[in-house]
Amino acid sequence: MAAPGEAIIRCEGLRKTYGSVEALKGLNLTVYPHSIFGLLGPNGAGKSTTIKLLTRQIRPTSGQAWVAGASITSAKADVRACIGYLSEQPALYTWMSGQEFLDFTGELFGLSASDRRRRRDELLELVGLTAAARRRIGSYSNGMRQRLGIAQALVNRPEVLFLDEPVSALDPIGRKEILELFQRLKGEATVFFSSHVLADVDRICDAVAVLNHGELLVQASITELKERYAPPMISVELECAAEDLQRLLAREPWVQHITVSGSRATLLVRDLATAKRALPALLVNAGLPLLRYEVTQPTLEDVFLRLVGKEGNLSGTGEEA
Amino acid sequence: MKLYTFWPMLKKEFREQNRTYRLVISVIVFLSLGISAPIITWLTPDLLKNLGNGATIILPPQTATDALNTYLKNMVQLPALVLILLAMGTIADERSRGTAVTILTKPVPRSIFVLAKFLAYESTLIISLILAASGAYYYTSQLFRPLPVGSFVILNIGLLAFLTLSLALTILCSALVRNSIAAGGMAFVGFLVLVVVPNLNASISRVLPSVLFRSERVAQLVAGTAPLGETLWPLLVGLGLAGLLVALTCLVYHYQEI
Repeated sequence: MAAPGEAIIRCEGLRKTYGSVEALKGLNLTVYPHSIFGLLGPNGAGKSTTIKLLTRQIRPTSGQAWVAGASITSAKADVRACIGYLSEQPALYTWMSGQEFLDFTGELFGLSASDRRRRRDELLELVGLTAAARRRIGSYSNGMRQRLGIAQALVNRPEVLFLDEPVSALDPIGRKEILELFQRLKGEATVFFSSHVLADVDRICDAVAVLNHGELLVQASITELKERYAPPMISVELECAAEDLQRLLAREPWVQHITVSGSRATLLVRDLATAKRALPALLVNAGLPLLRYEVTQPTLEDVFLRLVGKEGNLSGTGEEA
Repeated sequence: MKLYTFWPMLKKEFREQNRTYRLVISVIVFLSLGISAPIITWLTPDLLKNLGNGATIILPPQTATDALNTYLKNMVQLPALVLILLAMGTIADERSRGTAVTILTKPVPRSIFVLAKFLAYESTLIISLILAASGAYYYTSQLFRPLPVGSFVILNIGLLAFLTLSLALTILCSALVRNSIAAGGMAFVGFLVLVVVPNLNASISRVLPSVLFRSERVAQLVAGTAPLGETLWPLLVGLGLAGLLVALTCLVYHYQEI
């Protein structure tokens, strides 16, 4: 168990190679207890490899990591006793009932019969599967399997819950319920999950790490990330074509980038306060009739695309993207 | 080492064998072969007479030893193939379906994962073999005469050693590859080697369980004249080799990435 204030997950130079392919290139990562941590990155970025290493499915080529104070390579202190894990496609024994599967999982964690029964009923209630508890898992829908998968990952009241794309198979209502569940779990566990659904990550995560080609691009809180990598934008719509606006703003130091489409223009700004003061005045002085003016807050998707998208390189709020 | 996980894993394997009808299939195949051996031996003269188309086929009178030889021939072929078919996906399928990951991210040692599987299949084998042997013994006693119990038990332990070796080989192959068909193919080739190699080398054949099923050795055992050492060694070597294969499976699986 991690001491108060200590990281619950710590990776130091964690590296994994498959032949000549380097899936993870010396990952350094720190995750603090009772947070919801999102691992982002395009396909092949190394997200699943990281989760597999931290859950002891595979061994690192070099480097070290600790989960809840236990080394992932230690045979003595087995991190698996204090973690929960759910893979992208929940793989459960289809010939068992939901109730049986949770009971079996409890046995693997050494819970007594009465504790197992209590925990099983609690979890079935939590994920909304009480009515289907006695049905064979083979007859469950994908969403029900996903929810049972989450329940089995919680049987041992884990200190860290590792989830690989946990809400991908759920409908919008199911997704909302599960995300709310993760938020409730924050008090008792650290949730570490990978996802492609950036809106979900934006909604519930405290901090994220972005991986690309096996390398950590950035690790920060969501707020910090947005401030650093997605400067605010101003959208403007004019009565006339917006090319004149482009010419007008080309030399303004607070403008980082401007995109024009017909009568609309989107400005990426370096200094929002200055831009908010200067832009309306410039428009009035130039006699450009304004139809719409809006300051847009950046989303995590803007950050993500900026970090790993076409723009590619980490440029912070520096030069034009 | 979380030894307490062994019992739940073993129970899970038993339940799986029961729910997926593996136990039933195994019992039906073994029992049919066990019962049919003395019956077919008993009916052989009549069958040949009817098939003879007027030609006279002179057949020595069928005996309990002939029924026993038929039983042994039956039991070393089809049951071994049935075991390969039943067990070939036991580890490979769990890997390809992802259930192995679900289990092995819990504090379950990989050796326990393998041992529980082996012991569950071994139990199925033992149950099926006991039923087959009981059926064969009963019908042999009814149609011919009762066989000497000691010799019959020794020969069935020989069958157990031979089939355990095939089972251990199949489970090793299932741990080596992700595809159950490939595992089954590998195990089948291994089984052929196990059957053919003893015939090529006399010193190897003397210590493998299949030597016990040769007609002359069966006759010696029934007559109570088989040397003890030559009977015990093949049993010990067969079971010992099976144990080594299981240990090798645990080792292979320990270092595998799931």
